[in-house]
Amino acid sequence: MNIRKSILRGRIPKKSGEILIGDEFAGKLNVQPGNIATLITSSMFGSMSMTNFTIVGTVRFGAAAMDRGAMLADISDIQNAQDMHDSAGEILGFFSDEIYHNKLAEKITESFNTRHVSDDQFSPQMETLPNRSGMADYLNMLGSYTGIILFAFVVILSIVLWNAGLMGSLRRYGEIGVRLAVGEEKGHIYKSMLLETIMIGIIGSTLGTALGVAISYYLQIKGVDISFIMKNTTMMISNVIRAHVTPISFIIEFIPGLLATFLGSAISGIGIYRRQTSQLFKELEV
Amino acid sequence: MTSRLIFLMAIATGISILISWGKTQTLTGAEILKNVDENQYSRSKIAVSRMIIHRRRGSRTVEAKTSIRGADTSFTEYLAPVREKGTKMLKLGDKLWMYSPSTDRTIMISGHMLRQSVMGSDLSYEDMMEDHRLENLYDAKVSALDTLDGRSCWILDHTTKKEEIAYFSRKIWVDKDRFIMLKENRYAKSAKLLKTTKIRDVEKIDRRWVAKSVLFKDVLKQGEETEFILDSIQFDVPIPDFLFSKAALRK
Repeated sequence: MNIRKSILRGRIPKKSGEILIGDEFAGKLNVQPGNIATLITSSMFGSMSMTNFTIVGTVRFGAAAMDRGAMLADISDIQNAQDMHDSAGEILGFFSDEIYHNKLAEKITESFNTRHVSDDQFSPQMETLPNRSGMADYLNMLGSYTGIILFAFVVILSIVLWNAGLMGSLRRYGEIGVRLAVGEEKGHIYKSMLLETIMIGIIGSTLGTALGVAISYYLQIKGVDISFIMKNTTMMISNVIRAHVTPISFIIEFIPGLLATFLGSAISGIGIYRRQTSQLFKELEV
Repeated sequence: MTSRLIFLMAIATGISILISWGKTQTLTGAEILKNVDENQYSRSKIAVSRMIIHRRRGSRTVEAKTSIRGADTSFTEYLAPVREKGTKMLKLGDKLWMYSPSTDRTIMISGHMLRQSVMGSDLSYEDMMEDHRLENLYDAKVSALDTLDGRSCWILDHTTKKEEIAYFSRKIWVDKDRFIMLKENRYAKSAKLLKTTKIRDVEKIDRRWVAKSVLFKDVLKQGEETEFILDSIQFDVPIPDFLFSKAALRK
């Protein structure tokens, strides 16, 4: 969470009973570092619980929902406040590649709950991300938008590359005519053009993929700050969006580049077979 | 002569039983409820009690000393467990304050907080805030007769007199001889059962029938139930006015 760098006033908590709160939250409560704040909550058994904390600093979390009302405390202090020693209310789990896989998550959840869920109110229960309040809609929306944007980009770029392939062959009309005139087989010309296209496609797609992945990787590390459009959001999501380079990124970037140029040349190259030898001399103005 | 006397006494006893039976049979719901309220109402009382909150993973006992004046003024100090010791609650009319010794803070419990559980039990602060006199809150009518734990009971159906009330209706089983409630179901406006109460032990103290052991169950809550045990109670004892003030919370 990069807490140290996010502290605006005060310092990081050093001992039990010290907390950091959002700077905006501190402004709303009109409190300063050094003031005492009382957390009114309920214990894990349901009784009301009040605990005093010393505010030692304010922080900008970077997520609007957290800035408005979050506090950071030592986990043992919160366990004490909620009378839940050696226990936790929620534990977040991540896949090793840090990407959410719903089908796998559903399988793991089902298997876990079959073994552990009982009538006991404290029995551990696993939930998938879409099962969390409001997350299903958010994930569906995110998935749809990502799919639409990806599809649109792939189609547009494929058309551009296909067109490039078509134009490449059409512009070589004269060259093909000469090669036919000197006796080269139509099949040989067509095959050599396809081979050329494959080679150009491989080289171009490799360079394009490398460049695209490099930019994506840069965005993965640095990210893009979208806080200016997240001012009024109540969801606790990061204000910095990032790209994520995965093995599928290579396929998405490489295959369309290669296929589009290959198809462009393959379709335009069919014209070679329509060329008549009798017209060649006229066309070449011999 | 002796046999005639015995015969006359038997007739007199029979007539008195019949009169008493007839009297109880003709009581209306409102009259029964008034008798129930009268049985438990006193000018003041001081009670020491234990609340055993049963959970699947064990039980937790909360001890408290409560001083009550009239129907809507009370002061409660929690004596155990250690975590709750020194916590105090003051109810003055329709207001409830809670003092936490660990933070030295007094907060007024209002709004949604009233629906929270008291010390994790099956009782809510809203339950504590209720007027002890049910006749002030509900219209009652006898809906049936029943036998509960071997005792004849009236079943009274209550419908609310007020709009803003925690439980829209109640059904209570009242012991015909002792005018004490033996069982209660509390319902929401939708007729959904919310809470149940079962009196397990009744004792006569100072001419009153008092529930010594009560089981409360919040039907909507997971877990077992809350057992309320009355360890001691004194009726009509003088309680200093100071105790029913916010200043007493910090003392």
